[in-house]
Amino acid sequence: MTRRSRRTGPVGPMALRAGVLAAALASLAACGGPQSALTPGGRSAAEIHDLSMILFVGGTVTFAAVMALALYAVLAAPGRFPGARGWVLGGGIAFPVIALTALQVYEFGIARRLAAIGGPDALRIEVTAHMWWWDVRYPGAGAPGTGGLRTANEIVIPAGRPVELVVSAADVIHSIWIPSLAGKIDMIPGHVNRLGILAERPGVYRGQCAEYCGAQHALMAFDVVVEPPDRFEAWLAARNRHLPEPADPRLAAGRDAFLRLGCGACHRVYGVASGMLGPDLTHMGARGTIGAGALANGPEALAGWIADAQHAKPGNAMPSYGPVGAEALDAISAWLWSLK
Amino acid sequence: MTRPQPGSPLPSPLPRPAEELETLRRVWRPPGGLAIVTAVNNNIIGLFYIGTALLFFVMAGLLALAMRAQLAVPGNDLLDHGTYNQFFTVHGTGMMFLFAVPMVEAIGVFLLPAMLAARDLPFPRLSAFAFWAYFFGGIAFFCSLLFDAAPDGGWFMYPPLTGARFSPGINADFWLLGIGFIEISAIAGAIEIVVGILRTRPPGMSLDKLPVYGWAMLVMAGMIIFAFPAVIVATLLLEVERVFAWPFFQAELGGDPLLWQHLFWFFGHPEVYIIFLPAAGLVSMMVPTIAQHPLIGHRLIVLALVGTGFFSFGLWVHHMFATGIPSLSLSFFSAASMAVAVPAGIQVFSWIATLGRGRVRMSVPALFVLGFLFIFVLGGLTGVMVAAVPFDWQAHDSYFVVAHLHYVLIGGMVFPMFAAIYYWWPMVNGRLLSKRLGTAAFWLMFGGFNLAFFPMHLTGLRGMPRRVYTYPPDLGWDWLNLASTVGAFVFAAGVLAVLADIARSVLGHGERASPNPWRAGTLEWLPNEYFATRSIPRVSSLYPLWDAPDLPRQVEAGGHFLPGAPTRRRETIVTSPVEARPQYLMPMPGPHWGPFLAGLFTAAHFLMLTVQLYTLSIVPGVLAIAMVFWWLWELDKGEDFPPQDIGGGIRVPVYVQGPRSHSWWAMAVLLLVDGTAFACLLFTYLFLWTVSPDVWPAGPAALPAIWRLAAGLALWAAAAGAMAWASRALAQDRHWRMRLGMLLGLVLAGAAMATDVTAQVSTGLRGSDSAYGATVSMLLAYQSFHLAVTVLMAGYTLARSAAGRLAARRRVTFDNTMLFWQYTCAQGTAMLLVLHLFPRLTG
Amino acid sequence: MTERSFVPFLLEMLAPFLVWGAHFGAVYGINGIACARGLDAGASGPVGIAPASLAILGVSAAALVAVGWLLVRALRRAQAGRQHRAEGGSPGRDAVDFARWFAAAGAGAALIAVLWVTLPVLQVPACA
Repeated sequence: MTRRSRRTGPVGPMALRAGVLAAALASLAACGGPQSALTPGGRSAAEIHDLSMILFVGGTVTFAAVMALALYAVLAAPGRFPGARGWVLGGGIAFPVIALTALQVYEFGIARRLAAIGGPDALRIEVTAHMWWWDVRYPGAGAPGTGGLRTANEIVIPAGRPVELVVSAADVIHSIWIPSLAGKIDMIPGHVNRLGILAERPGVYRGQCAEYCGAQHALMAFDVVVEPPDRFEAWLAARNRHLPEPADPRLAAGRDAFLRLGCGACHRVYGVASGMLGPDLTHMGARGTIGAGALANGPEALAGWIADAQHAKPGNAMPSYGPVGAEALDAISAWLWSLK
Repeated sequence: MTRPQPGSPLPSPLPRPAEELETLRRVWRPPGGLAIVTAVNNNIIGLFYIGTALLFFVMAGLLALAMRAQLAVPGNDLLDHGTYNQFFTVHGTGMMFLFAVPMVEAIGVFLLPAMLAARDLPFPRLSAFAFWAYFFGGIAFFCSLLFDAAPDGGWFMYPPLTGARFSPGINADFWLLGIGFIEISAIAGAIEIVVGILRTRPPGMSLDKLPVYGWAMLVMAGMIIFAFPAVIVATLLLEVERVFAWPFFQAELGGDPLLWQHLFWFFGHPEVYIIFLPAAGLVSMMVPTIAQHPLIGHRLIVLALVGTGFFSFGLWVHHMFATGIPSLSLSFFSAASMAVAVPAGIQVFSWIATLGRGRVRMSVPALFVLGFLFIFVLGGLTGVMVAAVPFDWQAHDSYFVVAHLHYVLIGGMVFPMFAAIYYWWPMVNGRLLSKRLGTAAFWLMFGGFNLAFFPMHLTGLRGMPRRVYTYPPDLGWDWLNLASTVGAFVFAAGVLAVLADIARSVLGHGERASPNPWRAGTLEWLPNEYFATRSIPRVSSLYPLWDAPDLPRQVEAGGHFLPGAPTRRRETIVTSPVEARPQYLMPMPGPHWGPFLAGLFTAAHFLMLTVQLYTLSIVPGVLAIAMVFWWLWELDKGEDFPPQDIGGGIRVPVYVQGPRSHSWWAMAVLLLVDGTAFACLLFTYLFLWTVSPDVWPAGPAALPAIWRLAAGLALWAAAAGAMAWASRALAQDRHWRMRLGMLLGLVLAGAAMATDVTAQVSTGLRGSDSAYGATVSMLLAYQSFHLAVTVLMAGYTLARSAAGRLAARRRVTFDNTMLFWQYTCAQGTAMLLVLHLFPRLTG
Repeated sequence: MTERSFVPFLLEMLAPFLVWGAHFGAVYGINGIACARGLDAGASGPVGIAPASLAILGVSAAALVAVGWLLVRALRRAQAGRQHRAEGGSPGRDAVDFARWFAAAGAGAALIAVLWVTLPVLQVPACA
C-alpha cells in the first residue's frame, strides 16, 4: 500500500498536464456548429455534455497516468521499477472497480433524469421517418378538422417547455438525432419510441438521420427551430390557414401547373392538394432547405430541384420534371416560394 | 508422473538410430508443385491462411482509402452514393469476416502446434477444407464489387432495409449466403483449436502450464462456438424471409426488425473479443520476451481472458442503446460493459509491470507492442465512455464510434498482428524481417493511425453521423475530415512498407535468424520443421526454454517423446485434457485432393444459390459432400498397429474409441454449436411471442391435437432407442443386427418428422402468414435438416459397415453418427414440447 | 493416480461465471417481458420499484448467495491445496491448485459483476 501511495509523486504534475489538455480539448470543441453535441442548447444535451466532460477529463488523466507508467516501465532499470503484482491488483482491479462504480451511480442518475423529461404536460409532436425525409405532425394543433398540423423536414418547438417527440418509421429503420438538444433515438417500423426534449436556448439547430437507411442516408437532415414561447404560439396560429387566392397571376399559374402536373398526388398543400406520400409543402417557402437538407432553399434552387431532383438526391421518390419546360418550373417554384 | 529432477534420464535414450529422423522427414514431406493445394499440414495451410487474410486486409483497406478520399472535402463527388454504400459495406464485412476472424484463426493454425510441440492440429484435412472454402468464398465476395452486385446494407445488414422489399437485388444475398457459409469455416477452425489445445499438449503441460496464448485461443474458440450460431441463424432467417416471404422481421405480420439486431449483436459483440483476445494472447507471449522476464500476474491474465469471454456475452444490447429498449434493461448492459473493462485493466497492468520488472530490449515487435498499448488503452477508455448509456445516445452511430472501434480493433488487433509478424517471422523462413523498414513502417502506421482516427472523436461529437457518403460544409467537420484522410494514407504507406519487407524476405533477402533470435522461453522456439520438433518435450514449467536451457539440444537430438514416426505415418501424441498425460498415438491424415475440391465445390454451391441457379447448385453441393466422404474413407483405421513406445517407458495404443477419442470431442463441440443454434431459434420463438402475442394461437383449438404430440415424442424416442440397440449390437460385433437397428431407426425418425410436419399443417399453418407461422415452420425446417444430415451420416456408416470398415473395436465413425443421431432425437423432442405446450400454457 | 475428468474440472472453474450468466439472462428476461406486457404498473416508493424489479432483486439475492457460497468453498479448497503444494506438488496437483485459485478469483469477479448489474434496479425506472 505504501508503495502505491508513492505513485502520486510522479503522477501529480502529469494529472495537472492532463487537465490542461482536457481543457484545451473542451475549448477546441466549443467552436462546434449547429449540429454539435458540444454546444448544448437543451437540458438533455447539457446533462450529457456534463457527463462527457467528466469522462474526457477522467479518461485523459487515466490515459496520461497509464502511459507515463508504461514509459517509465520501458525506460527504468529493472531494479528501479517498484512493485509487480501490486500494480495488477491496484491499477488493474481496484482502481477500475472503484472508478466505474462511481461512474455507474452517476450515469444511472442521469438516465433517470433524462427519462423524466417529457411527461404528461409536454408538447407532443409525432415524427415519422421515410426514405429520406421527415413527416412531422402536431396532433391537436392547426385548423379544426385537419387532423392536426402537418409539416415536413423541420420541427418548430418552444423554448423552455418540454417536448415529447413520438417517433416511428414508415419503411426502414431511421434514427432521429439533434446533437445540440438531445441524444438520438431510433425510429423502427412497428415500434413507437419517445424522446423528451427541453430546449433552453432559442435558435436553429440541425438534426440528421443517424441510422443507415439506404442510398440517401447522407441527405436526410432537418432543422429544429426553437422559438421563444410567444413566437411559437404565433407560429402555430399562422399555420394551416386557407391560402388566399394569389394576387400575382404568375403565382396562380404556378399553383395551376402544380396541380396540372399531378404534384398534389404526393404532396399536400393545405386547401390546395392533399397528397400524403411525400413531404407537406403548405409552408414550403418558410423552410431552410429542400429535399431534407439536399439543397439550400430559394426560388432558383426550387426550380432546379423540381427539374432534376434525381440529380440532386439520386434515388429519392421525386421524379425529375425537367421536360415540362422552364416556364412551368419557374412558376411552380415561385408559387412554392411564396408559401411562407 | 513426477517432476523431472535435474539429471534425470531423458525419455528417449540418446543417440537415436540414424534412419529415425529420415523417416520422420519423409512422412511429413509436403507435396510439391501444383499438388501443394493438397497439402494439409498446419505450417502450409497456416501460411496460406495468413496470406489470404492479409490479401483481404489490403483489399478492404483500399476500399477504406477510396472512402477517405471521397470524404476529404465536403460535397465531393469522387464516389457516387451507390458505390460508397457498397464500399463501406464490403469494407466492414471484409475486415470483420474475411480478415480479422480468419487472421486470428490462421495465426493459431500456424503457431499453436509449434507452441504445444504437437506435430499438427488434430484435424488437418478439416483445416484445409475450412481454408479453401474461405479462400474461394472470400474471392467471390470481393468480386461482387466488380459487377456492382456487392451488398450495400452495411456490415450489420439491418432489415427491413436488407429485406426483399427494399433490397430486391442479389446484393444482399451475396452477404447472407457468401458470409454465412464462411462462418462455417470459422466454426471448423474453432473445433480444431479447442480439441488441439485440450488434447495435443506435450506431456506434463497441465492446464496451469498452458501458455497464455493457448488460453486466449481456447477462450476465443469457446466464444465462436456460442456466438457464431447466432449470426448463422440470423442470416438463415433473413435469407428465408427474402426467398419465401416468412415474415421474421416484418412488423405488420408480427415480426420485428429488432429480432435481427438481438441475434446479430449477440454474435457481434463477442466478435470484437474473438478478434481481440487472441491478439492480447500474442502480446502476452511477446511481452515476457521483450522484457526477458516471466509475465507478472499470469493467472490473473488467464482469469481476465475467461472473464472477458463470459462478460462479452452480456454486452450485445450495448449496440442497441438507442432502439428504445426499457431503461433498466439498458442499464444491465451498461453494467456488463463496465465489467468487461476490468479484465482489460488487469492485462494492461500485467504487461506494464512485466516491462517494468524486466530489461526491455527495443525491437520492431517491441515498438508495435508499445504502439498497441497506447492505442488500445485510449480505445478502451472511449469504450468506457460509450458504455455509459446517456453518452452513447450522443456518440452512437456517429464518427466518435468510428474512432472508438478503430482504436480498439486496429489498436487491439492489427498492431499486435504486425508485432507478431515481425516476431514470429523467423519461424516462416528462418530470416528476420528488416529492422529499418519495420521501424519506418511502425512510425508511419502509428502516426498515420492517430492522425486518421483521433480527430474522428471530435468529428462525431460535432454531429457527423456514420455511413454518409457526403456532408455539407461549415458544420465544423471539414478540416477534421481532411486530416483523417491524410492520416489514412500515411497509415496505408506503413502497411505498404511491411508488405515490401515481407516480399523482400520471401525473395531471400535479410538477416538469417538464430533458432531462438529473441531469446524467448516458450516451445515454438525449439528447432522446428514441418513436423514441429524432432521429439516432443516433457514440460514442467511455463517457460521451458528459460528453465531448461539444454532443452533445445535434447529435443533436437531426439531425447524426448516420440522422436520418430514409429508407425511410419504422420502421428502425434494425444494427452489428457487436464494433466496432459499421454493417452494414445493419433495417426494423422496426409495430403489429399478432397479438402481442396470440397472447399471449391462448397463455394460454388453457395455462389450458385446466390445468383439463384437453384437447380444447378445441387451439382456442386453433392460433389462437395462426396469429396468429404472421399477424404474420410481412408481414416478411422482401427487398431492397425500394436501399442507403441513413445519414450519414458510409456507404451500407448494407436487407436482409442469412445469418450476419450479426439473425434468424440470434436463431435461434442460441434453439438454445442448446434445446440446453440437451436437455442437461438427458440429465442426467436420466445422473442416474437413477447413482441406479438396476437399472432400466436389463442388456445388449444388453434393447435394440433395433443395425440400428435404424443405420437411425435414416441417416435423420436423409438428412433433413439433403435440407435442405442444398434450400438449394443455393434459392441458385440453383430453386424446384421446393427444394420437393421440403424435402418429401423431411420424409418422411425422419418415417421417422427412426418408426424411433426403434418401436425402443424393440420392447423392450416403457413410460413408466410405470420411471425408465428414463420417461426414454427423454421423450427420444423431446422429439424428436417438434421434428419437429412443424420440420413447422410447413417448412409456413410452403413457403407463402411458393408465394406468391412466397422467393428466393435473400430467404431469411431459409428460413435460420431450415434452422437449426432441422439442429439437430433433430443432436439426433436425439445422442439415438440415447445411447439405444443408453450402456446397451451400461455394461450 | 487416476486422470481427472475434464467436464467437472471445467465446471468447477467456470461455476461463478455461469451463475453470473444465468443471473444476467434471468434479470434481462424478467424486465423485458414485464415491460412488453405492461407489468411495470403499480410502481411505488421513492424510486418507483415495480413488482418485476422486486423479482429481479430476489434473483440477484439468490445469485449473490450462490456466488458467495462458491467463493467460500473455493477459498477453503485453495487453502487445503496450498499445503499440498508446500509438499512438492505434481502436474495433476498443480492443475487442481490452479483451478481452485481460479474458482475463488472468478467468484470474486462474478460477485462484483452481479452487484453492478443489480445496482441500476434501485436507480433507473424499469420501463421508461
